[in-house]
Amino acid sequence: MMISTRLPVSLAETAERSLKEIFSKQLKLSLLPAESADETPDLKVFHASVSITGERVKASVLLQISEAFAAKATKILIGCDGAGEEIEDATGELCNMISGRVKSELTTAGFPGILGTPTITFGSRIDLRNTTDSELCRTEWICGTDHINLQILTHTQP
Amino acid sequence: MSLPKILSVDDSRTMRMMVKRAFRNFQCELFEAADGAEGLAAALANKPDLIVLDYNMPVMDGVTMLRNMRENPDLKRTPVIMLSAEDSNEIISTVARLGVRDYIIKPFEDENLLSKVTRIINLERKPESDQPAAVL
Repeated sequence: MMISTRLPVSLAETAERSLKEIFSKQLKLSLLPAESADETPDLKVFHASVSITGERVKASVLLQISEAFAAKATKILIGCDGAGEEIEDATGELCNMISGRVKSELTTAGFPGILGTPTITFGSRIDLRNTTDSELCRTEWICGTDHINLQILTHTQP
Repeated sequence: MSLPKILSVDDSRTMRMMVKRAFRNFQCELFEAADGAEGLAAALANKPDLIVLDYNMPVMDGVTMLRNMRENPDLKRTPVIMLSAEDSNEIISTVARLGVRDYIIKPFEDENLLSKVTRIINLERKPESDQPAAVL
């Protein structure tokens, strides 16, 4: 019998659902799908990354937002202007909320794992690459003039 | 009359600030801790009337803190509301067995948190003159 290692869930749908929920419920901002990736040269972004690790799954959830949008989201979340660490923590928390949903979907699909704590870096935009035995979901969104990039890379084993 | 004491335990400073902000118009004492071990120490020191507890934290997670609380005579009846990004049935049933009174999935709205809290403890609004100005 062939055992499929392909995920029986759509992480793109999960990404869309969780992002829209965070934007409408927590940030009170509207979010639209972007037609193309942000091509702004030399744009530096915050990368917030959370890992999900289990016996049969390894996944990374990567959220990338501009410095300006991170500051704006932080102000909405905490109710005042945030400094460096506060902006990083808030960006990490946004990624954590999405990762919690992804983890739940993976668990329901038979791939339980443990959620890591968010890691934050700052620099040029990163594009995750999938290999033959992994799946990559890459989505791009627009909030006002800001681009929101969300990527989920999963590697599952039978 | 002493004010109700609420302990917020979350490794995210943002989330602790959001919880604090939700209670800004209410008369209560709010304490904070950044993980389960700090939370346990803060709970023993302050004897809160309610704990708002994250599930996934470094050092000591929310379930381990809960288990420790339930074994401690001073804390075993302290009401807990779980506030977590994780919404799997397995986690919800695990914490329900440990006597968690309610479960809120992040992202959350202040009204949702406040309605669940006021089912457990009595919160009174601050007089209008004491309320912080709205953030525009």
